[in-house]
Parts: sequence; C-alpha cells; structure tokens
Amino acid sequence: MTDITSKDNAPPASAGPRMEKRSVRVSAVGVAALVVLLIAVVAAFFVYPSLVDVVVWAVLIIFLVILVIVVAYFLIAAIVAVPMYASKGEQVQKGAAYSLDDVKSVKESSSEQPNDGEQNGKQ
Amino acid sequence: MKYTITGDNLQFVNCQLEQGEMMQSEAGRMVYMTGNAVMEAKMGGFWKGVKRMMNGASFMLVNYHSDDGACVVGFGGSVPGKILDIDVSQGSWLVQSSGYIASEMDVKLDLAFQKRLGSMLFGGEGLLLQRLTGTGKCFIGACGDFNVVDLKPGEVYKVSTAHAVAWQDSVNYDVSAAGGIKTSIFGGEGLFVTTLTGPGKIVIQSMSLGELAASLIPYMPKNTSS
Repeated sequence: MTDITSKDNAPPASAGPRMEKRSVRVSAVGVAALVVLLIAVVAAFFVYPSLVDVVVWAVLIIFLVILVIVVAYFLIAAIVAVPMYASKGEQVQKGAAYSLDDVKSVKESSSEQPNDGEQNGKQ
Repeated sequence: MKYTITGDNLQFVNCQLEQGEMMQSEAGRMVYMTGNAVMEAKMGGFWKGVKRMMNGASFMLVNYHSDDGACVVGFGGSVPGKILDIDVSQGSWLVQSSGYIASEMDVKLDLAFQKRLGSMLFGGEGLLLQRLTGTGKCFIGACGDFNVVDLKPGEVYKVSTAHAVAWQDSVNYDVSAAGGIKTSIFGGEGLFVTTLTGPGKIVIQSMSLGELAASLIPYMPKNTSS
C-alpha cells in the first residue's frame, strides 16, 4: 500500500498547478484605517455627545423624507386608481388565437443550448 | 464564454472563462470560483454606481478573470427561483429591479424608468427598472419558475401585477382593468393586470418574492411565552 502522507510520494513542485500568493498589504492597511476611523467615530460620539444628536436628527430627517415619499406614492396611487381603472377599461383581444407551444418553461441550459427563448419556435 | 445553468429552483450559473476573458456580476452573487480566478470590485463611475443602487443592484460590480489558464466561476440568485440566460445582442431588455446577476463585459446595466403613470403606479414593478443593452450574454434571476414567450406583433399577454420578470424593449408594457367590479373585488388580482404587447420576448414568473413572503408568514414561529 502506498503511503500518500510520505514526503517521498509528494508530487514535485514543478508538476501540476501551484498557488501563488499575492500581496494584499496595501488593502490590509486600508481595512485597518477604516477600522480605526470607525473606532474614532464611536469615540467621538462619547467625547462629544452633541454629535449623536446631530446624527440621530439627520437619520430621522432622511427617514421622514422617505416616509413622506412612500405615503405620497400610495396617496397618489389611491387617488388615481379609480380614474385610471375607468380610463383603461378591460381590454379583450378579438380575432387572435394562441398556442400552448409558444410558452416555454425555463430548464437547465448551457451556452450550447441557451434558454432565453432563442429556441422558441425551433423545438 | 461557456456556461451551464444547473439546479432546479435554486439554480447555479457556472461560467468558464478562458485566459484573458472577463465577466462581471453584481456584488455578492459569486458562490464559488476556481483557484486561478481573480475577482476585483469596480465602480465604473460614481454616478453609474448610484444609478445601479437605485435600481436594486449593487454600488460596485465585481469583475472576474484568470491570469493563468481557464477558470470557472459560479453565481447564484438572491431569491429562490430560476436563472435565465438572455442575449442582449438581439435587442435590449428591461428587467425588474434586482433581477441582474452577471453578464459578459460588453453588457451595459443601466437605470430605466416606467414610461406611463399607470404602469408606474399599478404595474407592480415600481418606477425603476434595469435596462440591459450592448452585446453578449446576461444572466437574470427572480423568484419562482419562469415561462418565456416570444410574442408576435400585436399578441397580448395579460400578466398578474409584479409577475413580469423581464421583457424586450420592443414589448409594450401597460396596465388594464382586471375586469368588472365583481372581478376587481373578488377576483384576487385587484383593479389592474399588466398587459404585455408584442413583438418581443417576455419572461413571466410563477411567484413573486412578495407572494412567497406572504405565504410563509402563517408558518413563522410565534412568541408563545407569557
């Protein structure tokens, strides 16, 4: 039986794929700087409690603006709904016939057999 | 680029990139990649990043390539559902927000607005959509199973609101009344249905994410402690 853990049986370094280590030191410094910045911001909140008020107010104002936009959206939708319903009407097509063959379900696919409807009508 | 889409209802798209080939994806969509693949986040302009965020995609896109030999990268969707490969070389597509997963580099992901007030308010897809232009393959995903229909000129499909995943730019997207007062109140579709008029391809989903969430609410664990 071959001992695969033995160093004698390990493949030579030149054979097969090998992993290359790329330096991320600059990125690590950047991440460290971000962490320091985060800690500094938290510390600033403790040192200057008035900053917390400013931030809370800013978040509150942004939240209120978003809330107003959402409420306005639904209000406009509610006001426009019935006139829009009346103006659009129910649309029923005449003189057309459809086939189940046109409806293709999405299955597994590949670059050789794409599934985006290019095959529709060809199958 | 070679690819396969595998799985059933929580699919993978597996892409093979030759050395020198590149592709891009939304941030967070990569599920696996081979040891020789390299990923790099790219913004491509601050305003482009902001526009991507507005239509439900990520601020930065992630590029993938290999410097040494072919590599394989696998992506997954953000919701339980299907992944569809579309070729934007045949015409630009509009996709529901957050539908974009990944694409070849020549595919441009941009912000699109609903053109009509009725579609914006009652179409179910909201004001903002994703527009895919350029050339190459793109992968989109959404909740549920998909049907693809190639509409001929003048052909109309009425689709339940929020169930249109994607449609070619040539397709006319609008809303119409679901029916009379009885149908509107008791029909389960509300006042409106979405109408998609050909020519062009449309993609319809069997279940929207909102419906999936609503169907799970009764089964959510409740706090029974008194």
